[in-house]
Amino acid sequence: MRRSTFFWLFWIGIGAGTVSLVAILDRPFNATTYSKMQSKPSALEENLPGAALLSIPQPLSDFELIDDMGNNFTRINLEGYWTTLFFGYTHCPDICPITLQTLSDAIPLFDKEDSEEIPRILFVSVDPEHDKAGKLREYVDFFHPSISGITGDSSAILAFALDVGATFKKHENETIEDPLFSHSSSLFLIDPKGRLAAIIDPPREPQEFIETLKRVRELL
Amino acid sequence: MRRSRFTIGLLLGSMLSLLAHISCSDAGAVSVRDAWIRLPPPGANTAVFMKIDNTYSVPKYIVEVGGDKGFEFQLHETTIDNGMARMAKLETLEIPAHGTKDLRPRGIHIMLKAPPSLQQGQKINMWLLLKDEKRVPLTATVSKVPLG
Repeated sequence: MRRSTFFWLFWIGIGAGTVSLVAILDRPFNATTYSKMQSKPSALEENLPGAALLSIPQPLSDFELIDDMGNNFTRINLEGYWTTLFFGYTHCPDICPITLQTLSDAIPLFDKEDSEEIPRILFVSVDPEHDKAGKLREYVDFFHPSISGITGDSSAILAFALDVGATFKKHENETIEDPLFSHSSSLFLIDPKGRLAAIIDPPREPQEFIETLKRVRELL
Repeated sequence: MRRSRFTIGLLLGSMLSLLAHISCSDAGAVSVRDAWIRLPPPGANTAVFMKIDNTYSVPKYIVEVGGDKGFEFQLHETTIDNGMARMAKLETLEIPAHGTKDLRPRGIHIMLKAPPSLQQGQKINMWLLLKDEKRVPLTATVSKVPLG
């Protein structure tokens, strides 16, 4: 009898833990929600306007994706550079092109300040069904030749997105025949050790992106 | 003398009420400024942005958008909620009385479905159809950077 009480308590505990983990993973992250979610304030070194900084950068799990040249893209490929990740899809008419344009416009402005500090920009497609390597290459090239597109198996993309705190969802709809996705609008900053360092709200101006990035690096 | 004063008063009064009547009901226009189309990557969808003015004393509603042959337009709205960007089709777009609706990036826009290749500076003829069946013609300019 006593043993079965412990047995049930154990499983209730596991269940509650799983439910709260799912609730956390299911929520899209942005700078504001991330800071709200932190139960321990010490987890956030400093709350910058438009960015949430992780005081202890979070190592990423292994993943296997494909770049826009058709080569394998894994965790090792994130090491050695600052990387800005943006999730979107090539059929997206508004938010993806404007974000990529703002980031592209920032690239030449970085050159003037400190050329070694230019982050790589990776556009991760949430629509691998339509966005194959060649199409992605053509798409990102239009904005800036230094931007890379990332695609892969849809379950691998979702796992990678959730790991950095991003999310996306495909919507079935009768009124728009194009693929329609909702997706995180934030930028995810990966440090040169391949760890998630900060989540940045989408910048409205190129200069805003540069300033936020500068302040994030100063604090890390 | 007294009679002529009365007549003048009557005339003035009726003119005023006529003027008031005109300004309250029919006098007005829906017009478009600064219309531009974001130059898209080859084969990609894009969006049209503009400012729509309504000088009527009543709100006006756009129910359909069309334009040059081969171009397909749709009213959309992008929303960013809790870090998630979404897009939804709009059935109608209200232009407030004596007001302006600003269609701009990250908000309400007219989606242009994967157009035939566009060039910087190219002009596209379009129209907005109002609920009262009036058509507002406009010309939008293809541009890589926002206009207006």
